Amino acid sequence: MSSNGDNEEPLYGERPEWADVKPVPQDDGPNPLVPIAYPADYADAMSYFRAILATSERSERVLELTATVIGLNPGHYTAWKYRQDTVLALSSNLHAELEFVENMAEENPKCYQIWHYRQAIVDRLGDASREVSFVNRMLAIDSKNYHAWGYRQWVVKKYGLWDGELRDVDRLLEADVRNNSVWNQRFWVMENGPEAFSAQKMDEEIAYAAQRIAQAPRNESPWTYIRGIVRLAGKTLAKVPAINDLCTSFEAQDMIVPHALAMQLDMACERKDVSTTKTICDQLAEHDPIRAKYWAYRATAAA
Amino acid sequence: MSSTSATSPQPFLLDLHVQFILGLDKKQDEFEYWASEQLRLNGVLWALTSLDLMNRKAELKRQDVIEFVLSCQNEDGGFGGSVEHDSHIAYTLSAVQIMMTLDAMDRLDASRVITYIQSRALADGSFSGDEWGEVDTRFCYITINCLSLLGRLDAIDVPKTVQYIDACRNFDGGFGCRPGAESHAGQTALAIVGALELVEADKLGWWLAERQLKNGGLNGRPEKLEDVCYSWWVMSALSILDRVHWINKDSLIKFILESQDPETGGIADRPGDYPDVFHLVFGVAGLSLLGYPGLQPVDPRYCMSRYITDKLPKFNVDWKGVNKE
Ligand SMILES: [Zn+2]
Repeated sequence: MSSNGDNEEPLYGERPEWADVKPVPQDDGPNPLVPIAYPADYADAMSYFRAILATSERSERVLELTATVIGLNPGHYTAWKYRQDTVLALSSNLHAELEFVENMAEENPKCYQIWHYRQAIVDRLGDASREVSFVNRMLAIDSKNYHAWGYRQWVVKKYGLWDGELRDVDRLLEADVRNNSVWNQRFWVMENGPEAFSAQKMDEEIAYAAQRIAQAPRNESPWTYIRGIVRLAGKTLAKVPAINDLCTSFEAQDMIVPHALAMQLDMACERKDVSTTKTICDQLAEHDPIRAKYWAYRATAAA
Repeated sequence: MSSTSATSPQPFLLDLHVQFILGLDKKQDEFEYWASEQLRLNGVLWALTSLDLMNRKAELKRQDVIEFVLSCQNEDGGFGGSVEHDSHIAYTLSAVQIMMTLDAMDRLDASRVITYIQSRALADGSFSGDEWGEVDTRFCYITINCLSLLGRLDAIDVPKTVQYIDACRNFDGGFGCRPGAESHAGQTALAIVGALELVEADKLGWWLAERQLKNGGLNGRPEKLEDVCYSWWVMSALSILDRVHWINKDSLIKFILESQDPETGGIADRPGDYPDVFHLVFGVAGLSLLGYPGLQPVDPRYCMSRYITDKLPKFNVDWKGVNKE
């Protein structure tokens, strides 16, 4: 790292508006096991940040300083927390904070502090009207971002923003039918959304998943989704004819789909049909050899 | 230059890994080094545990490590990721694990640590990670893990915490970070440590076994890339459920060995990538769990050598207060 890099700003030690603050250099103790050698700009900002921590100053310039520290080291949770306390103490413009977070998030989408900070600000603001589109922009960068999905669930549930959820889920599955995060979100909407989950809803969702399975039969997620949906409806797999139809449709095409076989296996177990159970276990051991020992276990468990 | 061919897996490069760890300190001028300052305590734990599993613990200067760890303890009793950083429950666990590994618990003021952990407890049985308030099932695991190492599980309301973890159970049998969050092998492995009796072992075991891909590696979620660290989380969970035999051990050993860097030492997330100490410790621990020769047996619950955790009192928590499905 070059000192300052492409940053035009002078070091804090050279700025007149900081002349009244005595910087506190790092103290690693007498014989450091892990001495820390910072690039000059980070060392400079940190020594002023330490000074601020010592005096508990809350001011506009603290916001500027924490932005620098966070910009250089987004995982610095102490700096995030100090910024949050300062923002609240100064009654700063929270919409401007959201913009600050968005800029940080684009560069560091996997940094949890950013998401946590956004949640705290929105919670204080009481206005989540821009949040779903913010998450959508972040999901456009990485559609499996765990933090983004967690934040989305918080926002949707807390502010009742259910209307667009299934539309967005459908759009994301259209883009990548294998995205497990999106399937998880669909299930979450079914389980937590305002509409009561009914037998009719279960049928609709199985039909939806079956359509997506037809696009990529070896995709694990929609198969797992069907299991979850049936359980949510309080039913068992063997009692839902659509599932049997889905599985046998591959047989008709002479296709071996281990997930379909596994589903048929579970249905045979539910019916206590031991001979079918064993036949399917043998097939699975052959077509899914890496888990052969698991299928052998299922065969013995059924006997 | 690499002398191994693609067809014959290279052996475990123990001496090279030791060199890799001892060289970490000299990388201070590299970007990753200072940018991950708040992780420093974890880095020390991962380096120490790797060495310990390789029977080379003495390579780190014990006294220096102890002084560094103690310098990370704050007024509130918790530990920050480095000197001058706020306390976080994750680093507090790392500190305890390091002191335990160094057999230096007498230097630790355990009562202050326990006070800190108690201060992080929330009304619903979950825990916040720091003063800032992040909530995650991982923190329940960390809390239970840490208190069990200190022999003080009585310091929190364990059945209530177990109830919270149970609420994070997903339709696929795994556990998310918060109620509703997608199953994630990391959190799964962590969550079950504290709540084994509530786990649907066959269902979760199958979901975990499904994480193995054709090249032998395991991923953390469906349709994600295989990764040495997730291989550990998934496998340790399977081990706790007594179902490691459901996956193909030989191909997983091969995958981990291929993820070694034959020039610099260290292990990467997958073959061909840059090595780091995080993937090194989980690679070594994974090999140990798979019975690879020459390594200390590892405890899948703690990712620490078994000779250390064997000294712990057994969990003796009464789960009966929790309603099962
Ligand atoms: Zn990894």
